[in-house]
Amino acid sequence: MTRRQLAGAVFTTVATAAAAQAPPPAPSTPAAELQAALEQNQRTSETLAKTPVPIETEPAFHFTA
Amino acid sequence: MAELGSEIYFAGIAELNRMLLAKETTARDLARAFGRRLEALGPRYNALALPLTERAIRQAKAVDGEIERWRKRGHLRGPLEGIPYAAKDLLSVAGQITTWGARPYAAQVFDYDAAVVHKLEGAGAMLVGKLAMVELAGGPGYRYASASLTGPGLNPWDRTRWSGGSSSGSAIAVAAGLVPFAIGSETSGSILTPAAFCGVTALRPTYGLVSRHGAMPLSWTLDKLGPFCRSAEDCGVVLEAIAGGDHRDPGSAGKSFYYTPQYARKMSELRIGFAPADFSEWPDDNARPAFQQALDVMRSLGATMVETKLPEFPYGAMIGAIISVDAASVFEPLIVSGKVEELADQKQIAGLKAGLEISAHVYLKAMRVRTLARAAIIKLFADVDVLVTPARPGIAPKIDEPLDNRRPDRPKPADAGLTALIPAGNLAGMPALALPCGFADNLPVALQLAGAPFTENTLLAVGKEFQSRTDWHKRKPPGVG
Repeated sequence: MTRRQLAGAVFTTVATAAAAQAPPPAPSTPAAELQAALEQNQRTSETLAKTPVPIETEPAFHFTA
Repeated sequence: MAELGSEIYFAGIAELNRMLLAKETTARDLARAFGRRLEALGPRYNALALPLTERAIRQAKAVDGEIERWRKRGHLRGPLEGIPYAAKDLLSVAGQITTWGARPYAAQVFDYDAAVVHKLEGAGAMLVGKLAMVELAGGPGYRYASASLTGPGLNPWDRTRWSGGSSSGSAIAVAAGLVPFAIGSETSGSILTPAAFCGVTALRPTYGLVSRHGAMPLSWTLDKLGPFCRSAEDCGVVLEAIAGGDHRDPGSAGKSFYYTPQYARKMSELRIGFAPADFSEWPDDNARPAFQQALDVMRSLGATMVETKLPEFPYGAMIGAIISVDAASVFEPLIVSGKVEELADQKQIAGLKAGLEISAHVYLKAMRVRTLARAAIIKLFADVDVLVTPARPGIAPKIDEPLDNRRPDRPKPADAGLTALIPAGNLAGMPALALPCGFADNLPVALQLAGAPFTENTLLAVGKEFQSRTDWHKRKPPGVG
């Protein structure tokens, strides 16, 4: 591999990594914004599902009669 | 009216007390001077929601009579007698417009005072205005600083930068010397963030310590009200006045607070937890030197510094689910009526709508994980008294910058340290203190101190000691007189 090819390969790798880390563009329409919010709900649900909770654990609010 | 020097606008509460007692000024002079200043300069920063100067001047007449009666005893009735202040526009004031920072509520009027407003009036403090905020205190999330009925909060240190939110006006007003103190609210970050970006000291009290009666609800088990001040000491004084049980607030802890610095533990008896990565790896490059110097000052206080980190839990997912569902429930009539479309921020509109779609089991899972997280965090305080970390990892963002993905090109350090302390602290109901600790590119940065529930006096003691060795909290933004 020549130095020029090496430099090109490194540049391509860096550019690809940067593209992978770049934030998704802000949704441009209200419908796309809502879709993004619903997808966030889904990610939240999946993240919480990964946390095991003992069966006796009550939610962090209480009712008093 | 006595001539007031411009230095009065940055005086602390004790100095104003001294001046009132020495007849160097009166409550009326202070109400008029601060009220007019808030009216004149507040709009420059989009900080003012509603001026109440004339109302404050009317109240000041009675306050001056009270000061006169107590002067014979050599002291004031209390430290807030004759002190002007302003409140975030999510607090109701009888007969006055309360917008919650949002267009759909632009004409809303309540016929009662919020508990905090009532308490402060009883203490002799004079409400000179209501302050701008992010619409609906940020609801489930927003993308732009412009998410407010009054426009983006402009940072007094640089008006091309955001003030932070959602208590934007509260932080701006104290930073620019428009009021000696202000009241704001936090559900997750709404006190600490603007305090850090504007360079003022602010306290998020323990959940339930301050009544939220008359405050806009956003999330019932997370909402808290707290003071923005010139110093940790002033935060203690104001907290003492606004804390206390209230049967009208179902989350009330039924506890009072007495600011007692004279009984604070010695610094040498305290253990302060920190995570080295918070100071070396997480801050933005320009802010790192300020944070590392602040950590050195913290080390010099004489406390034992202990390396620590938060227990691992999905704090972001938890708090996201809880706020989304609570906010969607609170604002369900707004959403289903379609008036939600009048909000300024498209992300907030979508987030409120989407909140109605979150399943009960997801919400309950978040609240059950929260039970585990709270227990694990409280356990942490068996080993340390206080946690310290940068309040925010960098300076205030530019006014038009998207707020929801600010550092996309920076890889996240492997060690999470205490970086999730804002959501974790709110989920566990912990108090926290924002302490200005330096500058980066001429903009303020701040530390966050957090403690176990109801340890405000310990946080304030550490904050007071830190501020006795630094003067960051006394710095004034350029051009504010």
